[in-house]
This record gives sequence, structure tokens and C-alpha cells, in this order.
Amino acid sequence: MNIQAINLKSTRRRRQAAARAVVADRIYLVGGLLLFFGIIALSLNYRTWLNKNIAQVDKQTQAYRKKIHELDRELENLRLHKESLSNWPHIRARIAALQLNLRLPQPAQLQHLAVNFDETPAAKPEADVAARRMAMALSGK
Amino acid sequence: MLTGNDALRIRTKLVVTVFVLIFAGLWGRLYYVQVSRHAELYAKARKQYTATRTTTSKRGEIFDINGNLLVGNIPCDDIIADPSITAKDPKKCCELAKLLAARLKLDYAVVHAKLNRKTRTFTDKSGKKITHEVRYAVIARQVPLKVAEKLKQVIYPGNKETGKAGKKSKGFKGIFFNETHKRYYPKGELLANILGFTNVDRGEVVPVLGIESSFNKQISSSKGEVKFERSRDGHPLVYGEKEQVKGHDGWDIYLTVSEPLQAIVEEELEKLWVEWKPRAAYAVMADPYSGNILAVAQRPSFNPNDRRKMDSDSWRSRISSDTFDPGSAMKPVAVSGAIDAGVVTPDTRFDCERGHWVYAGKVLHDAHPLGILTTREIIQKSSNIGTAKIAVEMGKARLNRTLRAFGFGSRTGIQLRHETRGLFKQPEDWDGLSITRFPIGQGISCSPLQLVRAYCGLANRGKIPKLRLIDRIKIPGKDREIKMWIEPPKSIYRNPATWKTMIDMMVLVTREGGTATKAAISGYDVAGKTGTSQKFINGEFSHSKYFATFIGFVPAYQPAFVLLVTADEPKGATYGGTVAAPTFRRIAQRTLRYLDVKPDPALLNKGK
Repeated sequence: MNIQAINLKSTRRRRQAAARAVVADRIYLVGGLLLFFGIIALSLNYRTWLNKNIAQVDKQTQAYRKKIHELDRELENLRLHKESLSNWPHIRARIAALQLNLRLPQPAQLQHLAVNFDETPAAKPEADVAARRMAMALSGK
Repeated sequence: MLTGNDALRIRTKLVVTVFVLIFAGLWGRLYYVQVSRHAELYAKARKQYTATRTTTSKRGEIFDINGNLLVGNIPCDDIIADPSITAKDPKKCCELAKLLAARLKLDYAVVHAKLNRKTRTFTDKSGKKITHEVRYAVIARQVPLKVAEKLKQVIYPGNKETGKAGKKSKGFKGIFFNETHKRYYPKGELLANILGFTNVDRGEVVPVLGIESSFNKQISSSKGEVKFERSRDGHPLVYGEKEQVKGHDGWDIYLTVSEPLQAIVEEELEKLWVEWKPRAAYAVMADPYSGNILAVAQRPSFNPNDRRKMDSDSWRSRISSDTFDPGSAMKPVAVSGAIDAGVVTPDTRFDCERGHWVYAGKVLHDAHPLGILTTREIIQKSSNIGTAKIAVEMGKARLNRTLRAFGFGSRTGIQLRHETRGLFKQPEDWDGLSITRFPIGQGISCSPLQLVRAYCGLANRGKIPKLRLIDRIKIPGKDREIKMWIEPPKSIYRNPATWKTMIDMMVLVTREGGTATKAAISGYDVAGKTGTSQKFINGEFSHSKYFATFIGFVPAYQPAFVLLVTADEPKGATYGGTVAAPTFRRIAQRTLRYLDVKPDPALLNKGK
């Protein structure tokens, strides 16, 4: 009969250590999973939150765009109104109504200053005429 | 006998079978929905979450040469009803009809009928009656922005931006506001006949005449369209698909006309219109060097913003589509050919037969009996007989060549539709009298523009320019301009001294002893010619109806402009020197000041 003496204390320790390792493994696994799903949930939440914010900002942008569009329309309306007020019959009527008693200047009273002549956007007929007359006068034709 | 385990097994199998069948059914349904009816259901779904928005574009605007707006687009709204919604509640429908009728100044019964008309029945080609649901009824078109804004506050249940109900809100449903533009002419009657106008036919712009019609292709805009996936509140989804067809604005047209000059011409022509009460009157001002039309006015005219007072007689552009006998205004043109060819000189004498000359069996009269006159006196005193004798000296071929060189019988090429060629017979069709009648402006008719072109040739030292009405075209959004070509003027005279000789003679017309002393302006040499022509009515020249014309240029030797003034059938006087010349003087005086053309001090002293 082979009887061997065993150290019960060390065996228990080994068993306890193994059991602890299993528990730790499980904790790691569960913790890992929780962390994984947590991160996924978090990112999904973050994405949803971002989308919500984007949608809100987009809505605001659209509201501003609409406002700008409405202001543009109003400006266009005012521009046309201004143009109709600059109509000569209207100005003449206002001059009469306000009794301004304006009259045309004598030719000698007129003086012209040409500033940045090159930057004039469009050739004015009067400028054309003046330039041509000057050129003709200079050439003596 | 079944044991407990067997029973459990059977029940399990049953449940599994039921589940399998349910899943099979679901898969089948899934296949049917997702595969078999995919296209149909996808289209249905898309229709629900896809919206289409039409983007409006602006018709091109028209400006004068300096960029002053002459025709623009005023923003406004079309008011649309969906009767399938508005007709649901009869009480509210009545209230809504009352509100719309009051605010838009419409007939209540008409508005109410539109709001209530849920269906429309029509008969198709086979005679079958078809009934359609009406979901689109136009209540009012082109409602001014302010009126529409006020209506929106009352009609919409709440402010769409803030989500709060408007103070005056009455919670009406089924009314929509479509943004649109209305053609607007901020300067009213100014240049109305040249600009023309547009009509609206079923929401589409239809040009009627003038630049609006001639340049419709360039001015027209195209509508854009955006298809987008929308959220419940109708806004586009941030990540949704978007399809866009871009619209474009029409091109902007810049005319050669100058608004201040136009205002002067319009104002003075109005005075002529009131004073002489003619059937029609017109004035044209042009730059003799470039051929630019600087101003054009005519009476009767119209205000394109107020169509109620418009009549068809005032629509057309008389300066390009009407013809008239130029009368004596033709004389300098014809005589210039004789001078240039050396047939006559300013001092060549002609017997004016005391106002009564028989040629080819017909009598030719002068307005006043005149004796022996030089060529320059013939022009100054406007002798028909003297001019006819000069033409006879010139010969048919030379006269024909001269008049055609000045552009009679050919279009000016101005960019307006329905331009007339005038009436100038080919030489083979001339009768025995033609050679004596054409040089005095009888039997030949031309448009006012043709006469202005011919005088541009006289003013520009015998160089005849091509008339221009459009200066440039601007393409919006591209910052690009297309400048319209200025054609170099064509030379008419062979003798370089002819132009001065002609102007010397024409200056006499406005001096003491001339027919148009009322056109004279202190400090300036005015070259011009009167024209008093009988109207050709029912095959004969009328003795009571005349065209009274004055055409000239100033300062004579370096002209700033050529100006024509014509009154058609003036009352109280008939002569161009009486009716048209004073208007010419007033317009010219104001224009010279505006253009800052200084008077000649020598001439000012002479006047004193």
C-alpha cells in the first residue's frame, strides 16, 4: 500500500487560487464586454446627440436663410421704390411742392472735376461727347 | 401511454413548427414587400418623404447707359388656395373669403366660389365626363409684398419660425403664398414705347412689344428645381439626398439712352403735346458719332404699370414702325449730293418762278412766292421749286444714289421689331415727277429713325453711323459684359469740303431770314431744317393735315447731338418752324447745359 502524505493546506491554497483565477477571468470577460458595449452605447448616444444638434443647427440655418431671403426681397422692393422716387417727374413735383424755386445754372457757373476717370464703370454718352469735342478741338478739325 | 417527457417533446415540436410557419410567412411577406413590390412601394415612400421646390429666377432688368434702372422685378406673391382643405368648414370658408376679398379688393362671391370648388368636371375627346379634385385655385396673382405679409400674419395659424401663434391669427388652413416677381417700370411713362411691356399668361411671362419682346430670349430666366428628402416639418434632411436643377436669371440690358436726357425730352414733348394738341408727336435724340440713341419720346404714350388706361394706339414705337413724308427736311440731304458732285455751288442761282412752276404737266408751289435765289438761300427759305430744279440738274441716278447713301429705303438695323424700311421707289419705278418731288420729301416716306440717321451723316461730316439702342448686355452671376459692337461710320461725300458747305447753309435756316428762327439758341450755331409735309390720305395729299418737323444739330460744327421733333396733325399751326422748332430749342438748350457744352462767347456777343 502506497501511502503518501499530502499537504492539505497547500492543496486548498492551490484550489482557492484556481477558483480566484476563474472568477477574475469571468470578471475580466464581463468587464470587457460591459466596457465594449458601453463604448458602443456611448458612441451611439454621442452620435445621436450630434445628429440632434446638427439637425437643430440646420433648422436654425434654414430659419436664418429664410430671414435673409425675406430681407433680400424687402431690399429689392425698396431698391425699386427708390428708383421710382428718383424719377424726374417725381422730383419736379417735389421741387414744386416744397417751393424750392430751383433753376438751371448758367454755363459759366459750372465747373467739373474728374476724379479716377479710368475707374468709371461705363462710358457715359456725355463723357463721350465731351472727349470727342475736346479731341476735335485739339486737332483743329 | 405517453410519459411526461414525450408530451413535452410533442409540445416543443408544435411550438417550433408554429414558429417556423410564422417565420416562413414573415419571410414570404418580406420577400413580397421588399422584392416583388419594391419599385412600387419605394416610389410611394419616396413620394412621401421627398419634396420638390421650384426656385424662382428673375427676368433680366433694363438700365440706361449709366445704370439707372428702367425696368425691374418687384417681389410679390401669388395667393393660392387648396379647396379640398378650405371647403371643409363652410363657416371658416366664408370668413376666409370675406378676409381675402377685403384685403385683396376682390369680389367676395368670386373668392368664395374659388375656395369652395372642390371638383372640376370636364368632357374628354370621347365625350366622357371626367371629374377631378381641385387642389390648386389661384385667388390672386402678383399681390404686393406688404399686402401679402399682412395677410400671412392673419392667415397662418402661427409664426413658423417661433412656433407661436400670431396675435391676429385666425387659424385658416389651405392658403399658400407662392413667391414670384412682377415686372415693374419705376420710371413710369419714361421710354415706355421703347421698353415695351409684358403680360402674364397662366404664370408665364409673355412679352408684348419693345425691348421686352425683341430681347425676350436674352432677358428670360429659367426656373430651377430642388428635390430633397424632408423631415416631418418639411425641412430638408441634413443627410438626405438632394437633386438640383439650377435656374438662371435673365441677362441685364443696358441701353444707350441716358435717363436725364430722356427726362428732358419727355418733359418738353409733353409741353408740345399740350400746346398744339397733335394726333401724335415724337422726338429722337442721337449721338451723330457713335449712332447712340440718347433719348426717344412719343405721345400718346402709356404707363406700363397702369394697364387700365392703355390703348393700342399708344403702344407701338412710332419712331421705328411708322413712316411719314419728311417734307423739306429732305432738302439738305438731296442738295448735299449736288454740292458734293460739283453740280451746284452755294452761290449757284435758280429762278424760283414766284412760287409757281410747271414741270411734267404738274404745278409745283412754294409756300411763299420767291424770285431768284442762290442754293444757300433755297435751303434757308426752303424753296420747293429751287430744290426741284437742283435735283433736275443732278439727274435721276445721282439723286437716287445720294438718297440711298443716306439710308432712305433701308432699315436702320435698330434692335426693335417691326422696323419699317420706309417707302422709296426703285429708280425704274419713278415717274416723271419723282425727280422734283423726292428731294422736297414728297412721295418718299421714312421712319423718324431713318431721318435721324441721315442727319447724323450730315452732322458727322458726311460719315453715316449705324444707330445703336443697346449698349451692352450683362450676364448676372458671371460678372461678364458683352459690349455691343460700334460699326465704323460710312463716308458719303467724295469732296472733303462738302460737309462744311452744307452746315454753313443749314445754319442759315435758324438765323434771321430762315424758316426756323425759333430754333436758334443764343451762343450756339444751330444747323437744321424745318419740314412741313402734307399727309397722304386716301390717295391724295391733304390740305388740312400736316406733319410739322424740325430736325437739327447743335453746336453746328461740333455737334453734341442730332435732334428730331415732329408733330403729327398739330392744331392751330402747321409749320415745322412754328410748332416743332420751339420744342427743339428748349430741349437743345437744356441738353447743352446738362452736357456742359459751353456757348461760343463770339456768338453770345453777336446776339447782344
